Amino acid sequence: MKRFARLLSTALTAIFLMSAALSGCSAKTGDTPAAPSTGTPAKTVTLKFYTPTDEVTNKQLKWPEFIDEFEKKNPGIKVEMAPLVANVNNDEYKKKVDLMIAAGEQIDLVKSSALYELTEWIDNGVIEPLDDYAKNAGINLSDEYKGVTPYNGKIYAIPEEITPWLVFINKDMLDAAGLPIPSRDWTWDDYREYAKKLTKGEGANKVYGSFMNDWSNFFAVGTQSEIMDDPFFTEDNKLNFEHPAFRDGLQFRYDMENVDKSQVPYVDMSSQKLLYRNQFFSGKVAMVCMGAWMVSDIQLIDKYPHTFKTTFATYPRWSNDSKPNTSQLDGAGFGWSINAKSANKEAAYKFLTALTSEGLEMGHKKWTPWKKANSDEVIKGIIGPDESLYDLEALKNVIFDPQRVDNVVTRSGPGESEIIDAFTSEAEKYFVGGQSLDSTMKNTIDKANAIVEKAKK
Amino acid sequence: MELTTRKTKSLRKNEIFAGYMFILPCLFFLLFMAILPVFLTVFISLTNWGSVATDLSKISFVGFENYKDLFKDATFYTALKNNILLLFYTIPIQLILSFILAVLINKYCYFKNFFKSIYFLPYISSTVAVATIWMVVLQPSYGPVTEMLKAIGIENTPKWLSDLHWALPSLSGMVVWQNLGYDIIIILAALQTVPLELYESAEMDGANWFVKIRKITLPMITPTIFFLIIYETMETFRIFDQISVLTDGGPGDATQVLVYYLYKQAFRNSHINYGAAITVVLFIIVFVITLVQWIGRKKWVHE
Repeated sequence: MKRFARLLSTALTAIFLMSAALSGCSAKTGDTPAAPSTGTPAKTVTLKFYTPTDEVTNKQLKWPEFIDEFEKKNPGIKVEMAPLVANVNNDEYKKKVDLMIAAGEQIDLVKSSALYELTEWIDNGVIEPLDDYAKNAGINLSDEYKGVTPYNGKIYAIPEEITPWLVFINKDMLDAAGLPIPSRDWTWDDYREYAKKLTKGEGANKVYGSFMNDWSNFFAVGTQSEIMDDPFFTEDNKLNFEHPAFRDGLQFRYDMENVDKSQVPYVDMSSQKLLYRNQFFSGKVAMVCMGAWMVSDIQLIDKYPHTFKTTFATYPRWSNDSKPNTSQLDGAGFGWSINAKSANKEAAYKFLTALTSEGLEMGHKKWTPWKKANSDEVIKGIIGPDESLYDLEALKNVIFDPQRVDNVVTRSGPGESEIIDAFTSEAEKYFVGGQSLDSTMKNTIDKANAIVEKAKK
Repeated sequence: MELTTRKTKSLRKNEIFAGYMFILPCLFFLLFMAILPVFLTVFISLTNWGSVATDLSKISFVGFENYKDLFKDATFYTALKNNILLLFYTIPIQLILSFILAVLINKYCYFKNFFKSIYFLPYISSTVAVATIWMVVLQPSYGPVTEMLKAIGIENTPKWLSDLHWALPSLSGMVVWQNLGYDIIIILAALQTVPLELYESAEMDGANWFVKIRKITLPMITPTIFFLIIYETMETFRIFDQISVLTDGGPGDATQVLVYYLYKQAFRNSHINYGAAITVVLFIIVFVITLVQWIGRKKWVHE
């Protein structure tokens, strides 16, 4: 088998090299010095830091400045930053990183953009656990950061950005309908009433009250706040589709679309590829449920021309028993990690922790996971100099609510990404009127069982 | 005598050598970029190599496990069925339409070049642009097509691309529209090769236009039509970009096709081995279909 592996890796390397040479990026790998594992300061270590964002974005984040400062503070470590993709493209980045790792190229830090991506890497022995390094440095990662979560008892990644979910509301429309800003403990039933009252017009000019995107986490909205941790699997790795929040959640969305007609129909959304930002800022919908990353888009009036003020409400509760302002913490559990094959792990750890704390603090462009970050500065950095389009008080009330419950996903079951695919495709059939709710649930469970069985083999 | 043969022999040798040198660069690239990956694909489909980043020492042969899984996989059959349906939805319409249009453009209309370009335009336009236009045209609630149907009194208009039963036909409509220009150009070229004296003598015998087309034009261009059928069959099995831009295989699995499914399995779900197995099966299917067409051609293609 060894021989076979070598054959395969030779062929792969050949292909990779050829494609690298052909596409004109002469990948220089020769000049890296041997790694000083003892950390002797005499030799210079060069870290290769490839980003899933392009240079323009990196400049906005002020990463080049941060790297200069980091190199000054840490003589002996040099950091070479290079974008691996055009624009911002996580899928493409992962494909390239996979290939680079398989071909044995030097890449010290890697970024995952979903929990199942990270766990897949971990299972394949690609990622170095951070615990020992943190112990040596004398810090506890969970005290320093929000959203670091262990996998199989070890911490493998530090998030780059963690975002709670909330509801964005067009304040002009809210005022016109004579509705108050929703209370902190509102429920999805209240949300439904709001959506009904905010819906106006007919045909192409219709303004819908609600826009829940065509992502699987909006297919059964209750699951986010009702089921703690991974919604798809119970703690002992059993499928969780029997949980009533799935079935009732599907029905909830279906009724909003077809009975109330207050939610943008799924058929329009998927066939027209409607974009939530455009829909909201052009005033075609009154409320959007979205992650906090959209907060920074409100100031971009060149890209999304609009004049109305945006106000914010907590992610609603599913049942009256659950705690208000509970939502998943998007981005938790994954992020930047160290390649297990890196020769400069000590240096990589130093850079990784600096990047996710001071590095993010410098740019103030992201919802940083660093607990010591200055929250006023973060808000200022994210919304920009002009506050006129923001209902700042509401925003702070939602995000910095001391009683907010962060629902962090720490687990991921066998074949999770395929199970989400299966759930998505069955739910789609239900939303476009192709099958009943009963058969949707039955088909989802059947498909998911088959996937689990295959994944466990 | 002997001298000259030896001379020609060595000259010939030289020439052969030079010839090989000329094709060497091309051959080299072909070997590494096309032939080797083909064998690698077969290879990979027999292993347990899931994620690209897997440590290579952990990879081992699993025999035909991936194929066994594949033949139990309902989505695979759906994708295959959709591919075959697409063949029937697109190729006949495309060929008939393009033949009629080619004959019209060739003989019975002014501004030939203008029409040629117009019909060819969709073929060279970017699929993303074409798809975006079709998205707007087929808007399910208040799009132009829907409104038109409503205006002539049809209630319950289909939801087009997000309708379980109409998604595939809608998609085929776009594909036909997009590829029509290519077929027209090829058939037009073939029409030029039909000798004019055949038509003249037919006219002397009093044949009308229909008989001329039926008995002369059609038989004379059968090799071209045969080429188009084979080409379009392969293209249909390879359809990917339209699906990726328009529907992502949805709603449900209504527009799931083999190439899109293998892409999803290999790169999104990290089952490179499974994707490779689908590729191999796809190759065999296309190969068999082409073989059958090739054997069947003797029955109808004019040599």
